[in-house]
Amino acid sequence: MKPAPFEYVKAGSVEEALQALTEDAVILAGGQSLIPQLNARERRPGRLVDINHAGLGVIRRTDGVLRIGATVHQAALERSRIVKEHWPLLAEVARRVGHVATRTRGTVGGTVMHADPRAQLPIALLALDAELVMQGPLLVELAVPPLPEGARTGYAEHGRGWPEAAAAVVRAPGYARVVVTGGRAREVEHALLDGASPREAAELVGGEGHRHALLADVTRRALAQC
Amino acid sequence: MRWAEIRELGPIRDAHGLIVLEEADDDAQTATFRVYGRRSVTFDGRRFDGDPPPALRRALAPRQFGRFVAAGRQP
Repeated sequence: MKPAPFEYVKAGSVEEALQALTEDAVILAGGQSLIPQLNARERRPGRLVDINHAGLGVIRRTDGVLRIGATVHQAALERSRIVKEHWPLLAEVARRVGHVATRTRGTVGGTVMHADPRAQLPIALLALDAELVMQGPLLVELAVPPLPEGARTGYAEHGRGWPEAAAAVVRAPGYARVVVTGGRAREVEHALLDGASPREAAELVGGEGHRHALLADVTRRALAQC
Repeated sequence: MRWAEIRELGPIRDAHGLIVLEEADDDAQTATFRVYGRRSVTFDGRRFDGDPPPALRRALAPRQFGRFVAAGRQP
């Protein structure tokens, strides 16, 4: 199918994008989720605001904080020297997202805003305490603080393509952050801080039956990397 | 070129090619540019042919700013 008719607006700046965002408008970044939805006519916006030329495509590190522009491609995150050196968890997760072709076009901001609960990058970003920097309704960047002193990170997933279960872990002396598909695993974090072994702590992850088994397995494997 | 200019450098484009700033590390004052399928590019009034463009490296990466690394050539 082809998309229903829409108006296309190419925003040259954040200000232009904000001005163009009418009530029936949607934002186009990498388009890896939006374009199929348009083609299937699951979405019928009156206007498409393209933010790919709005100056949001740069990865920056300033005062130890990683700033990922909303239109930074997943492939750029994967090959980034800054990310590899200082936030290896992100580089590791980025290379697992989709495949090369989709990572080349797909954006980090698009993944976050699309908010598919199975998406890997939001899990890693939550584990890293990333903040969404918004200007009005527009995500302009993700700010990722430096890792705690002495931190080690781990990531594991189960399933091909979209993982059925995934876990991202950040551990440092006196610090534990565990995020699985579905959100933070606070019981696991508390258990780790109380001295539980990774195997014991992983069993405290949520879910029932098969789902629990999958989440516990990926959590255990992610913790084993720390 | 000063770091403040490099970190904000917009896309450099001519009829044959495009170079974009991919990452800027303010703390280390290093920048990575991505070169898209190009035969030549004009920058700062000069034309650069071939790949890699050594004159562009010199222009963008004076010693105090460290190395210029084409993103596609990173290991």
